[in-house]
Amino acid sequence: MDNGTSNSASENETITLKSCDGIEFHIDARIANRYTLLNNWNGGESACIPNVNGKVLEKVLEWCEHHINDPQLNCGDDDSRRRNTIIEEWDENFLSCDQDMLFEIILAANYLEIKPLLDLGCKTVANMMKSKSPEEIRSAFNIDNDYTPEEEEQFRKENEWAEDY
Amino acid sequence: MLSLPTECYCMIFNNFRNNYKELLACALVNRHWCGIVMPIMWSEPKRKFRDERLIKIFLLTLNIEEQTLLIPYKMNFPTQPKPLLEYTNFITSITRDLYDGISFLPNLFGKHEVTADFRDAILISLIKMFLRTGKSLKSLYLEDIDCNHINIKDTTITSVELVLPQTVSDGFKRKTLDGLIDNLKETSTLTTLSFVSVRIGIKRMKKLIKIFYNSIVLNSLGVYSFPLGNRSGKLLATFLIKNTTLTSLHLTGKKSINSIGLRLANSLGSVGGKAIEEGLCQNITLTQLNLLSNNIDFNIRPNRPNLEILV
Repeated sequence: MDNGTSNSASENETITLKSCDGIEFHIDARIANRYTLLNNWNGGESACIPNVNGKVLEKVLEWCEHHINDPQLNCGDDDSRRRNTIIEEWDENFLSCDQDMLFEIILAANYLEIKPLLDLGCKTVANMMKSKSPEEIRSAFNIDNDYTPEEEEQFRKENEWAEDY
Repeated sequence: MLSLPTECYCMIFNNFRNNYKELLACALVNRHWCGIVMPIMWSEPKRKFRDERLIKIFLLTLNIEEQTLLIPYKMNFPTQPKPLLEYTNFITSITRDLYDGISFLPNLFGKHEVTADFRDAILISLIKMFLRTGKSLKSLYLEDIDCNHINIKDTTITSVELVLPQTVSDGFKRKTLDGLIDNLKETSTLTTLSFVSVRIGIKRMKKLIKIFYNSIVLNSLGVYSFPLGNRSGKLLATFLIKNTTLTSLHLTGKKSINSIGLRLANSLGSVGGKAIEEGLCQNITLTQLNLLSNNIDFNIRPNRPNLEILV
C-alpha cells in the first residue's frame, strides 16, 4: 500500500555525504530522495555539502533518519501542520540542545530545504519566547536593546492595543 | 546569539500570528525584530478596526489632502505625535469592521453622533490614505461609498466588494457604480469582484462584461442579492462560454450582511436564466458555482461532474 513515503531508492541502498569540514556520512538513499537538496548532492562519490559542518549535519541526518517513514505532506497539510503547536516527545528531546546548536539546525534545515525540521526548529524557538516580556526574551537570547527609551515608550503606546487581543 | 535569515524569523513569529500580546513582546525586543513582526501584527486588523486606538493611528497617518476632506466637519484630530512607523503600510485587507468603527465611535471625533455625510467623509479620507500607503493592500470592502472619490489604479488590490444597501438612491448607485467601473478599467491585478445588492442594469453590465473580457486574471465573480434581467443574463452567459479564467461564480439571492436593509431576491428572468444555464454547460473552467436562494432549476450537473454546485 502506498503510504505517501514511496521512494525510488531501496532500503539497502546508501549514499555518502560529506560535511563542509570533511566528515563523511553514509546514509540511507531514501533520505536523500526525500529532500531535494540532499538529493542534488547525491551526484558522485562523497558529495560535499557546503555551509553545514559535521556536528550539525550529524544531527540533521539523525532527525531525517528518525522521520524516514513519516507520510510526505502536500501544501495544504503543510499549513495545518504549521498551525499545530504540539511537538512530539522525540522531537522535543531531539531539540533540547544548546541554543547555538538549535539555531545551527534551523539554519541547516533552511539551507537544505528540509521544511518539517525547519518548522519544528522555529516552533521550538517560538515556545522559548512564549509568555516572556521583551526584557526576558532579550536576556534569554542575549540580544541588545537598540531602542532609545523615548522610542520604546512611544512604540509601546502606539501598539498597546495588542495587549487586549 | 547566532543570527538567522529574515525568513526564519518570519516563520518563528508566525507561530504567534493570532497572539498579539506575544507579537508585541517580540517587536519590543529590538528594531530588527520589530521590522519583521510589524507586518504580521498589522496585516489583518479585522475587528480591531473598531478599536479607537487604531483609528487614532489612522487619522494621524492622513496627509494634508486627506485631512482637508474633513475640515468642513470641524472634527477633533488626535494630538499625539506622528506614528513612529507607517503601520497602514502593512494592512492587507479593509473589512466592514472599519465602517462599524467609524459609526460607533462619535466621541473619538468630538461629536455626539456620526452623521451619514461625516461618516462618508471620514471613510473616503481613510480609504484614500490606505490606498496611498498600503503597499500590501489586497482586499477592499466598499459599502455605500462614492467610488468616484477613490483610485485603485496603480495599487496591489486583487479583491473588491461593493455593497450598496437598498436604502441608497438609484441615482447614487448608478454614480458610484460608474466610478468603480472607471477604476476597474485601469486595474490589471483584480482576481475577485463581488457586488452585493447592486442593481447593475444592462448599460453598466455591458461595460462590466467588457472589462471582464479584457481581464486575464479575474477568477472569481460574485453577484449577490440583485436583480439580473434577461439581457444581462444573456451577456453573462456569453461571457461564461468564452471566458477561460473564471473558476468561481456566485449568483446568490442573499448574503448575510447586517444593516443592509431588505435582501433582494435574485430575480433572474426565465430567458436570462436559460441563457446562463446554457453558458454554464459550455464553460470549462468553473470549479465552484453558488446559486443559493435563486429558485432556479439548473440542469447542468450531468454535463459538469467536477463542478461543485450549491443550490
